[in-house]
Amino acid sequence: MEEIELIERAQSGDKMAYGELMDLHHRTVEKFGFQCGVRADDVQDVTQEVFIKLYRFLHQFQKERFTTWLYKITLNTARDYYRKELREKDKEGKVQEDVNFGVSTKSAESKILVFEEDRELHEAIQLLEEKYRIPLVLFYFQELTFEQIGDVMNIPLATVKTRLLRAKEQLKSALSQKGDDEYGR
Amino acid sequence: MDDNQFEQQMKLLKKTYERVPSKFIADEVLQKIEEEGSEPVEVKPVTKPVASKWQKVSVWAISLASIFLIGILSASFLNNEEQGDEPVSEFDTNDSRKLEKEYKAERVKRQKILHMTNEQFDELGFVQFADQVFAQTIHPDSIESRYSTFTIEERFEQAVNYLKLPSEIIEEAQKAGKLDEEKSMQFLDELNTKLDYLKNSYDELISKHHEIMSTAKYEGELNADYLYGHRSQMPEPIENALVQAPKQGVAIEVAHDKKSFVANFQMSSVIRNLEGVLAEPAVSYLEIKELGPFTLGGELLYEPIQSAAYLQLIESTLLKTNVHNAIYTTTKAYYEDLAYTLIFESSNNRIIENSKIKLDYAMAWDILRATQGYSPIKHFIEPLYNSMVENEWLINETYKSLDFNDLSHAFILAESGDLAGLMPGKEHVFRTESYSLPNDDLYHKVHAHYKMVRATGDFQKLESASAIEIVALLDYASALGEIYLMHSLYKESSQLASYEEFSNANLQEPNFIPLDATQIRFLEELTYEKNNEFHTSVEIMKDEQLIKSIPLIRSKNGPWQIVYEESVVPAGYYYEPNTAISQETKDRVIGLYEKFKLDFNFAVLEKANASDIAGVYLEAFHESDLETQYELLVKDESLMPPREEFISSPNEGGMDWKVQFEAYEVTQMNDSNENDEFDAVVWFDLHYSLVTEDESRKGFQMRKTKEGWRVHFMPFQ
Repeated sequence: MEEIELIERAQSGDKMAYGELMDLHHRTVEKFGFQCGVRADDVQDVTQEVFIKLYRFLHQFQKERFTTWLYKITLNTARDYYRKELREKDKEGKVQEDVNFGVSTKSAESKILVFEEDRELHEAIQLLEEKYRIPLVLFYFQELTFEQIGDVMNIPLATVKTRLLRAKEQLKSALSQKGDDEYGR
Repeated sequence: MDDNQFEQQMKLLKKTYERVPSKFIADEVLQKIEEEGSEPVEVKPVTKPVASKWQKVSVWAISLASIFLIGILSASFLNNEEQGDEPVSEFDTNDSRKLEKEYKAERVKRQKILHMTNEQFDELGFVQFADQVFAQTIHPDSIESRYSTFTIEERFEQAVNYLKLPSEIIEEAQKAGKLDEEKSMQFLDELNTKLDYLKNSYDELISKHHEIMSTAKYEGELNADYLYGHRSQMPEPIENALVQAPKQGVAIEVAHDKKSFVANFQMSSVIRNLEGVLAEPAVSYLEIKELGPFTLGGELLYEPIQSAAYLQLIESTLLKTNVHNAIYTTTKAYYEDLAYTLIFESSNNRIIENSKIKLDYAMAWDILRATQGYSPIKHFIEPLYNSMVENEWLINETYKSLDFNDLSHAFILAESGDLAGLMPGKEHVFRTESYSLPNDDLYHKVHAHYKMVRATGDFQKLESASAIEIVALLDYASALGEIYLMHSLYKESSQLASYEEFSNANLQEPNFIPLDATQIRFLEELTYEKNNEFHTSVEIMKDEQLIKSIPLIRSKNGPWQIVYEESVVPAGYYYEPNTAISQETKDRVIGLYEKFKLDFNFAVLEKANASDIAGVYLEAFHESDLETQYELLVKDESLMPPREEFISSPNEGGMDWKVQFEAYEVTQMNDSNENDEFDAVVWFDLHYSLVTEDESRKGFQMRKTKEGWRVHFMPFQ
């Protein structure tokens, strides 16, 4: 069945249709969540919460913009997840808007990021400011167009391009420096 | 790491992400949804909460973020645990149908104004949003209709508000009168969002008709005026867009790269219509919107020096803003992108050549470091600038270790007022001010300064006097015949004669401020720092026309001093000093043209000076309006063809004077005759891109007749 039809049926209350939609998209949410900094151990909880929220808002948006909303809600859920956690744990110090979501547990992460180069690159991406990290992730790993990225982040097209360039430069610089440090240059 | 290596690593990492484990079970989520009782459409018979969260949604806010916000608020209804006793439903299906009909009529009304097809109109973001709001709030089964404390009529009106076009909300704002900063920024957010959606819609349309539009060329280049003049040859949607879009604040223009047409914001008429309505700095946001974007793909879209000036404008606008909403955020993004691109080298934006900073970027940095007051960009770049000057602009460690985050930190400090502590000696902040003339308040200040200087002889004590007060003091001294005081207020220079010569040769200017002046003003943007001195101008106006510009200089710890300039114009001759063609000038001239062309009533032009009349003629020329041109000509039959011949001559319109020229100056050419008539020339300075070795300005011939200013036939010959 066409996805649009699934969305329409889900919007009408057909839970089976919504179940099929979730099956189609849960991998996107899982991977995107992790790429944005959600810990490997928390990916499932965050993914569940994304789909619960998505269901609540299902009738609020046009079906053609389903994917945009999927990314938006995933991003916001990931942010909220760690803010709530920090509030509940009553941690000291300033809570930054642009929080990098916590410390990874080695075992879960290491099962995903097996190779050192991947681990280094993933960590370097997580150290980017969010406004640079998200366009980079959406472009390289989710293969969204500039327009789609602008839609998800609510920024103009020109800003998407600039931030992508900036992100790439910062990342390359960070990786080069790390290489220099390692080799004692 | 080169680009290829980078891309390769990213690809590998992307594959690695496939290993993110999945234990997702859709049924678990569905179960949770059941438990929460979240239903997207079917409404359970729950009861009315005590307070509606809908009230907190601003009527003005309509950005995409607010779509999300409304979604969250609506969802919060579903989770609201406050329960009353009885379900509430205030209307039935018949009411709903009636409102649907009315809503449809409101849609059709806006669609007709825009002359858009159904498809175009339906795809406008704010129309879609309005449709959603209508659907959510009106349907009798919707959550909002049960819980909202607004009446159905109020909710319907709210949905219709979201349909309104930019022209409508501007008109409403004009009627509402002056808005405070918060309401101004809210209004801007709404206007900005609708303009963005319209621009996107027109850009899509242009893209669809790219091929035929690329035939609209004048002298081998795409030309927007030519496109407009030949719009009847374009497909109907394009023809409609060309006519209707400007009424909504969007114009179809040639893109920066000159390879296509694009929809751009045209804010001049919007700003004009909102004068006196929006609080500062809201108006500046509209100016910035029209100028933006400033970078594309990491490249500057304007020359570095121009970009630096725009960066200053953006910074001062942001720092003056207390309300940080969506348009503030977008503009802040412009600020950061532009600052970064002006300072840091990248593959798309080369600012280094032969290990040196390129000259145009060095000049741009010079402008930035001369920003007045407690400026983040000044604080950020001044140490770098000084270091580069010492190093003859060769790249050094100071540049290499520059951290862009420091600018962000400086900005935060500036917003909290703490940057002053890091910038000692930068306390000179010059604020725009003006006085209407004559002015008691100004007179009292000037008189106080006069008494003090006469009593002490200490001109250093004039350090606290503003530039306007110094000019007015000179005029006061002139009226009193206080030659020594007058001479002392001038800055020493080779042009300024000694006191003896000054007093003996009668070099003083009578009526330093012309008697018919109506305003004196000081604009902070005219002030700049150079060689540890501040330079500025005080402008003398007569009925919104600039009639005199007086340059002044001050050292960091000294008073303002007037720069002596010998007059080049014979006494009594008509003269308009060299003046930049500002947006204000363009708007004024266009306004005069629009009124005059209606019925050629010269009363409309009665107070206009020579440069304005020249502008009206050139605007008519640009618009291929031969009739208006003819009416403005000197009616000397020996020099011009009959009216019928003139207005029927072939004419495809002329170049746009607003683009071709960047400044003007008017000089009288001969003595007045017995009827007080004389000839004058309006010297138009060509835009720098049009200047050649042979020509930098064009002379436009006019005549002051008994009836007023008129244009000579073939005025540029």
